[in-house]
Amino acid sequence: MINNYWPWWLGGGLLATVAIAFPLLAGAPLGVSGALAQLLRWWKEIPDGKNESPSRPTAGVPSGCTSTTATGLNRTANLLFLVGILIGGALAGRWGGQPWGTSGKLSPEFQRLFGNGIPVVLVLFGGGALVGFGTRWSGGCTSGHGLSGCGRLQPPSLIATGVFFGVAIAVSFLLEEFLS
Amino acid sequence: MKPLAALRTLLPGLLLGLTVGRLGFADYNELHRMLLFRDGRLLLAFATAVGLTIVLFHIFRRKLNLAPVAFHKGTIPGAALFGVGWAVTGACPGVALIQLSQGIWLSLATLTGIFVGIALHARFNKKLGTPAGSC
Repeated sequence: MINNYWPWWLGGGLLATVAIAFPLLAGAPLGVSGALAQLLRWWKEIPDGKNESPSRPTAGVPSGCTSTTATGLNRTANLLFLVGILIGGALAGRWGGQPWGTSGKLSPEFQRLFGNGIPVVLVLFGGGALVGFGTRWSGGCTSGHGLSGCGRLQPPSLIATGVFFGVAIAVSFLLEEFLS
Repeated sequence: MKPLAALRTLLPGLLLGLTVGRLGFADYNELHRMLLFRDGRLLLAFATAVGLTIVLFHIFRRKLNLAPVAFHKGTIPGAALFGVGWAVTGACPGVALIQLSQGIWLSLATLTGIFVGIALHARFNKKLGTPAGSC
């Protein structure tokens, strides 16, 4: 397959940059699932400005996770993080990050496994529900556990990352076995 | 919020979206091939990212004092459910957003599912034993 995706070292280097830049700039650990959860709890969050300029946390005072918010960010900062992801994703799409055209569908491998009909919507919805429920129950996703937690050598994150990678690998082999 | 303060989360988000997109992590083909060990590029990228992050967190350890990640009842089963959903949809929460912004409208179904999943978890939070405000 021909694509012009970035090489591993560039992508890996920039992902690490994000993982360290986010807590340095925002004062809370990186985590997209937590940010989405906070978006959903929008109306319950602390007013804007309370966490305006994140000061360096002092020793003994845990930052972020133990506050009333999911990510420790105020809701504007949280929303801007998600908007940033959307802008970055759109730029990537413009710049060769979506080689499969603009059909609105997922990549050919997905279509080979699950087809093209209406049931695909249900598969994605159900799978998405597992992603949403699972990441919140586990307390993190690919970014929160995988990058940030593993990067800080946090045992729960190392275990969780091993589990979701292991299960995803097993399920992928099962999909190939039974659906292709 | 001052404009510069806005950049504190907007810029890392933008770089995350751009990198994940340009790396091909939001492309089901690439992810599926990674999970089948048919292509090592994304695995290598992820391992590099984690390795470098470990080094960077060590360098900046005095500047950062983040709360430790707590282990709880949901850490393992939650990760397992996520693994199933990830392999099927090709999307982790960030990837669902990136796919949408790339014009993959079908990912709206994934994203809707993710929000429903998050809401279900919030509904049964106490019974599931997730610590309040965990991330």
